[in-house]
Amino acid sequence: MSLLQKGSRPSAEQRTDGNRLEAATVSISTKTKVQRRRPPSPLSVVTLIVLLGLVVAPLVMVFIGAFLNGAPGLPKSDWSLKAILSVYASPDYLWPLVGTLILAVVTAGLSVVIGTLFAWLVARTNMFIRRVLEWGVILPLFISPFIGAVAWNLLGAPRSGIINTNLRWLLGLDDDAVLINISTMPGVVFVMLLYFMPYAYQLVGSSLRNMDPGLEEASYMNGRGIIATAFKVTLPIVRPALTAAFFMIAILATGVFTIPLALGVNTGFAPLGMHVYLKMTQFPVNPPVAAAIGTLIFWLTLLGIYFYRRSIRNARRFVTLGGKATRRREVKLGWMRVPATVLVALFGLFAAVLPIIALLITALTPYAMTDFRSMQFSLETITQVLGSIDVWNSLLNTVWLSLLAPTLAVLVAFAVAYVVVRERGRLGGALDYLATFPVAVPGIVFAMGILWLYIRTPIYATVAVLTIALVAAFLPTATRFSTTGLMQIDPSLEEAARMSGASRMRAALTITLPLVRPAILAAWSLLFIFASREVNETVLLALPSTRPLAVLAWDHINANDPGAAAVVSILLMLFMAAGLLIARFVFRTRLDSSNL
Amino acid sequence: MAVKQLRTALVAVLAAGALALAGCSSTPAPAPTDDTAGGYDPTTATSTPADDMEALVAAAQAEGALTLYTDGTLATQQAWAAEFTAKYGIQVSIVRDSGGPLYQKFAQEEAAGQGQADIFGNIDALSLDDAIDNGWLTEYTPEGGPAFPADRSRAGYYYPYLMGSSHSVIYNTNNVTPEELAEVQENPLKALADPKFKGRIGLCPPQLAMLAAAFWYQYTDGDGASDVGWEGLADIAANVAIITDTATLTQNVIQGEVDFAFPVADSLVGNALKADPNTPIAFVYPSPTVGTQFGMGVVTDSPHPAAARLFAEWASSLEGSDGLAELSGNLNLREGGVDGRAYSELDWFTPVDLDTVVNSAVYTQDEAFRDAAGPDGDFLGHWSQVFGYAG
Repeated sequence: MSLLQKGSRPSAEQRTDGNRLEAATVSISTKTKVQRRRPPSPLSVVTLIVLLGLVVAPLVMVFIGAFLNGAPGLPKSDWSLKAILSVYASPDYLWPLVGTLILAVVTAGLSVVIGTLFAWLVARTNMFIRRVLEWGVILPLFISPFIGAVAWNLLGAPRSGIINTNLRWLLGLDDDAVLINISTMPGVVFVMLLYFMPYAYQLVGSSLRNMDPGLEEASYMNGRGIIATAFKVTLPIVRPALTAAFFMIAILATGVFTIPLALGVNTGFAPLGMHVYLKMTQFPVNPPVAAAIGTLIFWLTLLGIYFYRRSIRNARRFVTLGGKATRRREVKLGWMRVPATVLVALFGLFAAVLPIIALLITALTPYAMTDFRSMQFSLETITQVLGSIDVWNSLLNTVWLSLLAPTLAVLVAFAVAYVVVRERGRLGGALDYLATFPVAVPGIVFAMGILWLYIRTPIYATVAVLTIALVAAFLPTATRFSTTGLMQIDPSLEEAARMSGASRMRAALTITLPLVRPAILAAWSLLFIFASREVNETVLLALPSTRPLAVLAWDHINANDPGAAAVVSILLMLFMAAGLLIARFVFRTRLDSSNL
Repeated sequence: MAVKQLRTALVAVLAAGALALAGCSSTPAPAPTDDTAGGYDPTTATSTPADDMEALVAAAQAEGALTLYTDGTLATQQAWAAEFTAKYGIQVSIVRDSGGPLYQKFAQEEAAGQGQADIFGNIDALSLDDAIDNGWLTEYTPEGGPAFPADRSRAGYYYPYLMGSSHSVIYNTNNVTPEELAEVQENPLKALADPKFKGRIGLCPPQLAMLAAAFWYQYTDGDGASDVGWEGLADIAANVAIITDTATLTQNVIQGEVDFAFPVADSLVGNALKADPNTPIAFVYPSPTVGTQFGMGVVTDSPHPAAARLFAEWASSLEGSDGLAELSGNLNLREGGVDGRAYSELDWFTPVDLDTVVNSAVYTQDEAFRDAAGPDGDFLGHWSQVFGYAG
């Protein structure tokens, strides 16, 4: 007992009746001793080395780059504090820092509120056509946020946007009437909301589906109404998921640059992520300052990661899997049924349907035309783009990337999760943190680190370097899925296999892996979409021979050819839909909020 | 055991450190090639005599491919490259980006010994000169090289195969009244300071490229300063709706989001009209303005040296330069070349007064400008302050 007082607490499964307590205590005490003495397993060491190469080394390169006066490796580059001082010791970046924080918090707050409302409406109420509307909420995942922003610029530009131009003549308004202006900070928040809210919906929706409906039922039985039950029972249970969603979206929003850039916002404020991009693309190009701003964002988001991890930890504590099946009561919305349906449908309309229509119009018109009365359609842009060998090369690269990156990310993440959940060694905590780090750095900054790190290796200018960048970027998501999946599997199953003579590897491969398969396939499906549409991590690293479709679309936007960009974007969406359909038939995995 | 754990951690940290250091190390620039050893070598030659042309074509076709780094318009470059491929059967890959980032990418690859480019082109003469100083562009004089203006080339290294362009004020022909146009044609920047143009103007900031910085510098410290100056720019700032890059600005003018935009290269209007003659876009030249050209040279460490040299020969020939002029709808700088400008016969077009055009090459040598617009100067910050630009 003395060892127990000094050491660890027994775990839930080890807390047992009085007759077994002593034996268990002895066993735990011995385990504690053994755990203390056990060296890191080969798996944990290999995983650590992989994470150091994937995550730490590129980050180190970014920090090194911030202390130079030019890009690392260039002939005139030397050590200098100038970039660091210009970012950390001058007021120039104070307002962008504060503004970025406000933008991140507002976007995350609104995303969580709306995501929670939608998740509740879909999971608990008698809203009309719920399954169809759920697709409207998930569909934005198929659209790259920068493509969505480009589409919204076509839709909501104050003078010439499709919405303003056509509503003016339809409603008989003045020529200078502006019904919607997307090129404003509220416009930026709106578009960010469209493409970040689905993350909140996933997290909260999943939590709602997993909770024991008996708890809500008990509340109703005790006379509480719908609102009181929602606030007193449901909300406290999903609160960890809400917190996790809030910090996840806030972290993502901190590094965003494509949306304000594509919307042409001219408000005198640019978020930090946009400053990074501008320092790497504007005259005079200044990679060290871009790297220094990247490090500033890193410290900021590290704080977010701390809270995000805390909330995930709490979320695990609150998972409630009831052994007794209770039928979930469907909340009758009454007169609110139609407004609620319209509200969720509007989201799908704004986030997916209208942007896709805008892209189709752009692809089918000879130049940017927004007035339906004078629109001329032609298939020339489509035939021209599809006749180019670049598109088919890019499609092939997209196929490789979207297969390789999710597969490798899921494998590495499973190794991390196994070490964290099953081995619980000292390295576990470090690996868990390292696997979360890529979230803390904007994609373009991380890609800069990858570029500086691998430019001297044979894998530069190959699809492999893009794959490495994507695997690193996807690790946080893949690890979250794998860790959660592993935690839901009783370790005694593996222990039984071990006691029957199976090696640890065999037990993991034959017992754990098949059981965790649904979680891994769900992660793979989601990462397949992310890998297909990703631009931030790949734009700096891609060359014509390795360029995926998403980067080709970005190149067309940069080259003043929105029609070609629209065609490539539509092709990309079709590819993602086809990929998911194939995955559904081959792996029997479905992508909806229940498995995300 | 603690020692063992420490050792493991140390090995891991050292592995990460080794990877990071590998990324920092500099690869020495390749030694200059020497083809003085006798016979013609199509992979190291500094020129190709007519008699050796066949050998060059054969060597280039054996290489079978080349990569072109350019900041020209992608669609035009692709169509131009396709003509080269059709003639010689050599595939051309194009890496397209804005001048600054393109040079960063090129420089990092060359410095790391990972050169991908065979031909490097850039609008910024400073970048091209820097590439020569670092030994990344090799000496090669194509047969047609001397037919390009000497003051827009660096003889033996790079020539303006692509085109010449001058910065202009572009406008939407559907949205601008004849009265407004008359005012703008007379003195564009002064006219656009009028409050009646509020919310109708888009600007390209000086941070976009050295050439854009040179344009604005003319109106704050150069020949246009007395007419406009910082005060005049403040009046224009009150009318501005969008500040962004030239490609986006051109789209915004075509779409009708803004009615005027500047400074935008006339070549972008040529591209747009070539793609569709009905595009509602035109331009006027302000006075003064800046002119430039897209220089191109052969890369020293070219993965396909013969194909690169053959491309330089073809690009400098009348066939190559005329083909590009026709495709791009822009000014051909080659002596005896066709005028491909898609707008030169249109009613609204008035040629630029060459006396009012300062070539970008002049600004690359101007110490005062380089200091003011460099990282330690205050010109860019001052401009951002006047226009409320966050970039």
